[in-house]
Amino acid sequence: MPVEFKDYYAILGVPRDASEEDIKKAFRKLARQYHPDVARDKKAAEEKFKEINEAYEVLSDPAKRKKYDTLGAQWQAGAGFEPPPGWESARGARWASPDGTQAFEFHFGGTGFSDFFEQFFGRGGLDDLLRQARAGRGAGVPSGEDFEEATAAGRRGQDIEGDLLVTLEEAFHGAVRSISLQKTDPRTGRSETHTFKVRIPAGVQDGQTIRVPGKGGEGLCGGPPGDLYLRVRLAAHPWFRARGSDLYYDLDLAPWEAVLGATVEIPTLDGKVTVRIPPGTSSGQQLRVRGRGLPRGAGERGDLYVVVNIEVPDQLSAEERHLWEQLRRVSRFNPRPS
Amino acid sequence: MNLPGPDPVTALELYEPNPAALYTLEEVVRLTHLTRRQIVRYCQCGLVAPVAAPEAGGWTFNDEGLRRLRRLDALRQSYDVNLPALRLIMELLDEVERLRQELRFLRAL
Repeated sequence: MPVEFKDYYAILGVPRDASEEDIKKAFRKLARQYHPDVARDKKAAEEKFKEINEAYEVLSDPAKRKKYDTLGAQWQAGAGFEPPPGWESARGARWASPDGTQAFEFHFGGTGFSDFFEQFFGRGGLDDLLRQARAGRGAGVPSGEDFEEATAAGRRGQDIEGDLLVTLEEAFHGAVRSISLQKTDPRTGRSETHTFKVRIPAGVQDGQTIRVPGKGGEGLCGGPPGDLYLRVRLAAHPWFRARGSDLYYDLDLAPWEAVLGATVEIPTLDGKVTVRIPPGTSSGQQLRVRGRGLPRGAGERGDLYVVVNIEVPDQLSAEERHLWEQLRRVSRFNPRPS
Repeated sequence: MNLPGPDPVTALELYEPNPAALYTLEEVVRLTHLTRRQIVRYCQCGLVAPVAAPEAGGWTFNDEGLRRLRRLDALRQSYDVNLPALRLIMELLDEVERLRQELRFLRAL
């Protein structure tokens, strides 16, 4: 299936030789601009936000970026896209049943990732490993080395795994997403599309899978169908990073705020909170705001960690310079004690 | 990102997974198409762990356990491997997933 090439550099507005730092900065700036919470046209902003996320997912990962650069080397803006010869697509590839009698191509929609991403950057997970095994061995004949064979009348269909891009807000509040799964029989060209809604429970974590029963491959000889497993990929957020049910927020402080202490207002997923920075706070230090992370069941919530980062002014007035010099003279602080 | 479907969708099924759902061994046998003996063997080898729920009586599994059992079965059938090899593959896959998550966390700065 031909897919539309995605110009990730154009999406982030950076040149092709942009540094990792430039890419990060561009992403953050755009993510703040198009964040669905901030933007006026929420629907359009959400699409754009997901597009930026996808571009960042590829360009921020050196291995994926290299692959992307190779893939798009021949591509010209405005032209159609044909992958160079020899490019196996990561997804949408053929699945053959163990006895080789059934072969289908699967194609996802509504996951938050574009067709282009799905095809070339869908993760090289177990799905691909299994597909390779089947391709390499032809019809697989399970051995009975460790077990006697299950002698069920029919064989259960293949499980399918897919990634689902979920924003932090969706993970926080829970959401309902429409997913479509297109199955194509390459021999006949016939395809059918199943569309269904899946509730994303509040508090889902990165890497968690959501099982959609019966939406996998068809069973053989009257066997039941396999399941669809949607793996949650939390979208990068302009302010927060998630780890389990905890959130991390990077807080920039002026040197004097870190030394003397300060009171700072910081955003959370549900309103602002005021945090007291104790005197003598160092860069990298983490301050915990209890219970302001993601839900984790039974009415509990993870924590929000404020990670301190001390920024220094790069331009000084004559007076500031004088004061810093004075400080250097009188201070007995030694950051590198032997 | 809408896919061309043969006919317009009128009513959509809604799946509401319960992340806290637990399944008895009998239900797991039905859902995975594995035999009791296979499931017990995978548990004994530490490839999958039942959820500790003494009040439920007997073994119960969650969605993650179900998924692991299905993966184990698919791997075994596709690669024709024995239990130690299966264990190695699963450990490596878990490790890769953990590292990818950590990388994603660190990159999201």
